[in-house]
Order: sequence, then C-alpha cells, then structure tokens
Amino acid sequence: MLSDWLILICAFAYVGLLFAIAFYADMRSDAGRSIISNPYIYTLSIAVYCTAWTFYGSVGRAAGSGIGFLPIYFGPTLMACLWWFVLRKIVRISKVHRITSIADFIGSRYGKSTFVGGVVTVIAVVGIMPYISLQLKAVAASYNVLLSHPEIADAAASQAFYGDTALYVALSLAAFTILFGTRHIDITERHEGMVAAIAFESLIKLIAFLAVGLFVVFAVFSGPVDLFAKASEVPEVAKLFGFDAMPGGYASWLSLTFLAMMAIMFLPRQFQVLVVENVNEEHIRKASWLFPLYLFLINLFVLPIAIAGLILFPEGTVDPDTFVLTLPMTGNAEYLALFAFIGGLSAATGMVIVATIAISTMVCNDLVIPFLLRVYALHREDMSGLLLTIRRGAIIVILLLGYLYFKLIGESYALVTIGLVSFAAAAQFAPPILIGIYWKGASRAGAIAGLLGGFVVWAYTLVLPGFARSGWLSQLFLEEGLFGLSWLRPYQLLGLDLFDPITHAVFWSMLVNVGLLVGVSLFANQSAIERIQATLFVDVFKRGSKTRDSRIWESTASVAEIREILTRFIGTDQAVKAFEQFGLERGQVLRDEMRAESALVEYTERQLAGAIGAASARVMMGSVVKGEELSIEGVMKILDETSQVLEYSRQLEQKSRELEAATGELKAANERLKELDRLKDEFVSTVSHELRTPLTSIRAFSEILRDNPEMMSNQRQEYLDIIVKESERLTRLINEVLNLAKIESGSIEWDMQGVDLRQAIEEALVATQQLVVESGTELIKRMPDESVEVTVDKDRMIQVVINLISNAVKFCDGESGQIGVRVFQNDGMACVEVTDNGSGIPRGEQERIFEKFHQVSDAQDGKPRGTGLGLPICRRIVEHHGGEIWAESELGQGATFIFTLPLRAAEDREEIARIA
Amino acid sequence: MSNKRNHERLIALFLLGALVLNYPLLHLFGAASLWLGIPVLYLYLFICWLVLIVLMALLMEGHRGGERDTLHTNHRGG
Repeated sequence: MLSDWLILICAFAYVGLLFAIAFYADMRSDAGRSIISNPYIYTLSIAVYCTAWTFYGSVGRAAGSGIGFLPIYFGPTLMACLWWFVLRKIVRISKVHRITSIADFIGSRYGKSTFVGGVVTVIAVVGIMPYISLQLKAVAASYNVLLSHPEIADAAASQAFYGDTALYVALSLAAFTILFGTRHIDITERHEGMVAAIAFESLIKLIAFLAVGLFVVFAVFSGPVDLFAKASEVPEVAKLFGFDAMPGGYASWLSLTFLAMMAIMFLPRQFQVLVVENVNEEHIRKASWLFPLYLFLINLFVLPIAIAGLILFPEGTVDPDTFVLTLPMTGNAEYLALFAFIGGLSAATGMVIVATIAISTMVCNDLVIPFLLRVYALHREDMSGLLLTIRRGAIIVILLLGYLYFKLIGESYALVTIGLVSFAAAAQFAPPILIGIYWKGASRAGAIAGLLGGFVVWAYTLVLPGFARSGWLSQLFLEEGLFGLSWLRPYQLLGLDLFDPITHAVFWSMLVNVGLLVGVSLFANQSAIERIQATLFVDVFKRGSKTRDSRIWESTASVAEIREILTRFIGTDQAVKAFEQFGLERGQVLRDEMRAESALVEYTERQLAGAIGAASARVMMGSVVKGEELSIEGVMKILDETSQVLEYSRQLEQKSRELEAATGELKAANERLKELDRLKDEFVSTVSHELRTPLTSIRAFSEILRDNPEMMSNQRQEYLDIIVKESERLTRLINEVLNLAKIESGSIEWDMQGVDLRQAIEEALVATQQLVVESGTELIKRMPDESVEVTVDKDRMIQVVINLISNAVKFCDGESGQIGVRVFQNDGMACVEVTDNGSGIPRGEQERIFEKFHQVSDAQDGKPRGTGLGLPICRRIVEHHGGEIWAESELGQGATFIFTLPLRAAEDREEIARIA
Repeated sequence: MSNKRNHERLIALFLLGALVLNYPLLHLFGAASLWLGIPVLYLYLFICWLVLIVLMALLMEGHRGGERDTLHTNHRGG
C-alpha cells in the first residue's frame, strides 16, 4: 500500500530531476556545447510520440482487440522509410525559411498567408484537445489507482472539481510547461532544455514499461509460452490471438496505419521535435531505424501484459487501461508499480509539454500577433514580454480546454479512441504539406478550402458524435442524422456504412480535403508571392541553403530603426548579437544612421520570423519599414521586363555582329571589285596602246606610200614589208586578246583528251620550225623513250609550247642562240622545260612576266618584242590543267621556263585501253 | 549513382513493409493458433517488423559507410 505523500514526493522529485536536466542542457547550449546534437537524443525526442496512450492505452486496446494496437506503430515504421526524402525536405525548407511551427510552415508555403496559418492553428488547438484530455485522464486515473488499490478507483470525472485529481494535474502541467518552454523568446525557437528532458523521459518510460513487461511475463508467469498456454485455456482470451478480434477488420487496420503515418509527421508536437528542434539533417538517417526500434521494444510486451491482466482479473473488475499498474501491485511489487507510474507520468508530461509549447507558439505567432498587428500597431517598448505573456496564457488555456474536454467526454471512451480523434485532426495537415512540397500548383485558396472542408467533416463525424454519446447532444443526432436527414448520420455519411467511425471519418475527411485542395488549386489563380513561395518550397534542394528571401524591400528606414524592431521582439542582447552577425557575414560595419539596405531588412525579417512566425514578421516589417514594399506584382513585372530587355539587347547584339560581318564581306567584295575595275581600265588602256602602236606605223607607212608615188621601188618594197608585218602583229595581238578574254571568262570550251605529251611537243616543234630556222638558232630536244600520258586540250597545249619557243627565239642572239626542249617525269608530274641562252630575266621580273602586257624591255633596242600576252595565256592554260608554270633565270645566263602537268593515273589509262 | 540507387531501395522497402503488414498477406497468419507456444499472428508481425528495422538500418548505415569511403578516397586522391 503506497501512501499518497510518497507518490507525490516521487512525482515531484522526478519533475525536479527533469528541470535539472533541462537547465543543464540549456546551459551547455548557451556555452555552445550542445548535448542534444546527436542522433540518439533526436531519436528519443521523437519518441514523445509514445504517450500515456502507448503506456496505458495500448494494453487496454490489446485487451479488447488483440493486435489492434499495432497499426499505430507500424504507420511510423513505414513512414520512417520515407523520412530521408520527405522529412529531410521539410527540415531543409524549415531551416531556410526559419519555420517555427506546422502552422507557420503551411502558412508560409501558401504565400506567407496569415489566414492559412490561423486556420491551421485553430484546427490544431481543437484537434489536440482530446489528446491532452487523454493525458490528463491517464495521469489522474493512474494516481487514483495507485492510491486506492486494491479497491477499484472511482471514475475520475465524477468527483467534485476541487477534489478532482485531473484538474490539479492540468494546473501543475501548465506550470511545468510554462517554466520549461517559455523562459525567454529565442530567435531560433528551439528549446534544447526541453528536448533533453523529453529524451530522458522517453528513456524512463521505455525502461519502466519493459520492466513491467518482464515482471509480468517472467515473474507472474513463467515465460511467454506459459502465459500463452494459460491464455489459450480461456476461450475469451484465446480469440485475441487471431485477426478476427480486430474491430473494423482490414479496412480499419489500413486506415489506422495511414493515420499513424500522418500523425508521426504532422501532429504539432511531432513537427516540433522532428523539424523545428532538429539540429542536423544527418540525424534523420539514424533516427529512421532507431525510432522504429524504440517502438518495437516498447510494444513487445503490450499483448502479454494485456493477456495476463485478462487471465488474472475476472472480466470487468479492472479497467484494462490500468493493467500496467494493477498487475505489479497484485504481484506485490509496489515499487515497480510506482516506477510504472513514473513511466506513465513521463509519457504524459512529455507529450503535454511539447504539444502545448508547439501549440502556444502557433497561437501566439499565427493567431494573436497577426490579430494585434491588424487591430493596432505594436509599438510597445518590450514586445518579448508580451510574446511570453501570450504564450503562457495560451498554455494555460489549452490545458484547461483539455480538462474541459475530459470532463465533458472523457469517461465515455477508452484512451485510444480519444487519441485517434486527434490523429484524424492532425491528418488534415498532411495534404497541404505533402502536396505543397511537391506540387507548385497547390494554391492558397485550395489549401484553405481543403483544410476547412476536412476540418468540418472531421468535427461532424468524430467530435459531435462524441458529444452525443456523452449525453451533451441528443442521441437522435447519431441515429437519425442532423434534422432527421438519414444521409447526414455522422457515422454513415451519405449512407456509407462499411466502416467503423474512425475509418469512416478518415475516408470522408481525406477525400474532401485532398479533393478541394487539388480541385480548387486547378482553377484558382495564384498570386505572385504564392508562386514564389511554392517554387522556393518545392525546389528547396535545387537552390541550396543560401536562398534569398523572395521579396525586395525598398527601405528608407535607418539601421537603428530596424534594430529597434528586432529588439522589441527578442530583447536587446539578441538583437545586437544578430546585427553583429550580419555585419560579420557581410564584412561591413553597421552605423546607426545608415540607411538600412534591403538585405538587412530581409535578414531582420527572417530573424523576426523565428520569433513570431513568417507571416507575422512580414506584416510587422511592412508596417514599420517606412519605405515602400515594392508590390510583388511590381517586382515580378520588373523582373519580366528586365529579362525581356536583356533578351532583346542580346538579340540586337547578335544582329549587329551579323551586320558587321556582312559589312566586312561587302567591303572586301567592294575592294575586289575596285581592283578588278582598275585592272580592267589598265587592261583596256594597255590594249588600246598596244593596238595603236602597229596601227600607227601601218598608217604612217601607208601615207608615205600614197603621198610619194614616185618612190624607189626597193624602198616601197621595204615599207610594204613593214606594213604587212605590223598587220600580222596586229592580228596576232587581237587573237591573243580574244583568246585570253575567253579563257578568263570561262566561256572557252576545253577539248580534254588523253595525249602523249611527246607527240604534242613534236607538233609544236614542227609549227615553230620555220621560225627557228629563220632566226638561225640551234634547237636541241630531249625526249624520254616511253610515252608521257596526260589529259589535256591538245591544241592549247601546243599553243603553250609554241609561245614558249617563240619567246625563247625572240630573246636569243641569232646564230649563237641555243634552245633546249626537254620532257621528263618528276614526282608524278609531267614536266616540260624550255631553255635558252639569251639575255635572261632579272629576278624581280620573273614573276611579273606572267602578268598581262608586262614586257621585259630589251636592253639593246628598248623595243618590246612580243604582245605581252603570251605568257599570261600560257599560265592560264597550264593552271587550268592543274599544273604550274614558272621561270628560272640568271641575268645574262639565259632563262628556263618550266611547266608541269599531272600525269594520267595508271587505272585511267587501263580503263581507256579496255574501252578501246 | 549509388545515392539514387539507395533512394530506390528505400522506396522498395516502404512498399515491402506496406505489403507484408497488410491484407491479404496478413490474412495468411490471421488464425488464432499457436506456434512454438507463441500466437502465430503476433510472431509474424513482430518478426516482419524486426526485419524491416534491420533492413532499414543496413540501408541507412551501409550507405553512409560508402559515402565516407568515397570522401576518404577523394582526400587521398586530392
């Protein structure tokens, strides 16, 4: 028999120990040596999931439904498989945007909307009520059981309020939470002391439960086999072994698993420990298997304890929810029972502390502050005091509401059933978050519609029936529906009567929530800030942690004014520290009178967001910063226009580059044309000059002959010879000009054929034989023995050789002249060489002689001897055949003209031979 | 590469868990009978659960080991 003072002393000593741990952790945190920054503490803090529900309620549930308590723990296990994607993304987003609560997260995602945040907060407050009442009920009941054993404890709720344990539990928990969680306002909104304390509590409740389990299985019974063997002798108990004991069957199993999957992430307190209190993303890695392991261990003995209780206590004498306490007491292990009570206290207080801190933060940041900001400008000196007051008030109100719910409803339901109502409420947050972080199109209007719709369905199908069953509403509401409309029956909405109440509510509320969120989003227009926030959330991993805030403040406020705002909310020390940090990061000194640049305003807004939430911080900055906040539309427009202008100017640059290139080409073409024009003029004048010379002499001699009829006949003969000669020269000249013009214009027809070069040369020699003989020059030819096959226009090739030979004849000195013609093969080319021993060509002239009308003046008589077109024609012809022509000469040593032609390839020859 | 593969493994593990812990596979073990003195359903569920946890631990910790190795190699290489 435990005395009440012993129980109370133990309870308060335990709470004192928690304070010591929290205080130590905060101290270490301030010193920069956090004790919670490791995955094990993180995992244990997540285990705040296991509340009095797990500690007492699971056994009660197992006693009624066998394995029916398990989906609540399988859900989190399955979800943990996805933590590495989903949770890590949420954590990253929250760190970038300094998210302080789940309401802040959802509000921030949907355009930093205060309205969305407010809706989430209201749902959270209303939804959490049953859960808190569950903890109160559990603690009060366990205390009463411990105190009054072996008599059966009175139903806690039936006592007068001043003698009601639950009320005192609620009040002391409120005091406890206030001391824990609202000692000061922190810009990171993290509570290291609290996390350390609840991690310790998670450890205690696990050990306590395992101790009870081991005691029951191995001390009361002799091992699990003995326990189950005894159980199978009792038919009522033995049927718990099968799945059939599960009420609602597989559908209920599935829906509970789903609910638990959502609850582990989106219950406000789970969001708090998983996301807000997360120190390092990497901790998620270990937590995703250690946390399921924790759940595994704490559930291992649930069914054995439940079965043992059912065997030992005749049906109905002891509430199965209290088996964890009553079994040790029956076994005369009172101190174990006391330890179990402490474990249960751990489970309950852990949940209440975290949940109320999380919700009071939400109430303060997303409900009260936006309201105050709207009603009147907050210009008090010390805002942090006001913030703390609001939060403390919220904590007391939340716990008293929980107590009220317990008084109204609590006795009608088992622990687990009460808890599931809260789970279903938390599940309403899942669609806006999960869809919101993967689908940019999810809009504010959709989120509001989904949340409100889901909330209304939840309240109608789970909360109102609870009031009806407790006698606060007419029972007719349950049986006949609202206004007697049978399709509005809360447990069989639209006549759907397949499911148990929880599954039914989950189905309808999720359908409405997701349906409205997606449906409305598909047709709603997103504002610019919604689009920006959606992109920032969905693409958080693409942008890295350096994401800039999306808005641009055009501020005229001074640095001192900006700092003052921050000071008002988080206190002087932290504000100064924050500004120093900013100065360090940017490498600049912030002087009070300086105009606050937009980066500083943004930075301050983020710091402020850590204290009062993103949406409130935005309103706050908007109301205090004197300058105008450029409207989002304005910013987007500027961005759009700027990018368009950039695009245009880029295109312009490209165009102008193209134009420049074209101009360059045109210039070059123009130059070429000018050059050609000059050449043409030169050509025409040269040709005219060349034509005039013989014409002049022909005319002069003809006139002499006409004017002097009695001229000596031999002189007359001489003059006539000159006239004939000059005429011939004129004809030759005209022929060559025409020839060259034809070649150059490309209108000439080439009669290409396979030719033995030796033969062509012979023909040329025959043609020039007369000339050579007349000049008295000696001609020496050297031909190879085998044929030299080339593909040429034979007549023109002969013309080339004739030109070269007659050239050589002209420059040779009559009798002593020697002309050599040689044909040979060299390096795959046929070569023809014409040498003379004449006066030679100066080195500088050797290339120029191939230009039109360029003539080497004869040193002896100064008169040109050719037309000046022979060599240019030769060059054109040779080049047309793919060969080259050049002159080699030393002055006074004679000259050598060489031209080459490509040899006809052997296979061509063979082919021609075959055809022939 | 191995990172992506590990992500696929995690999703597969999630699907596997959802499969073995639900109808209809659950139905195979739903009878109220004992095996080695332990209720079959109870045994099945807890063994599945433990296997899931062990696989999860292997995926999470094994993967990190791999990352360390590459990091280490990179350092040596650099």
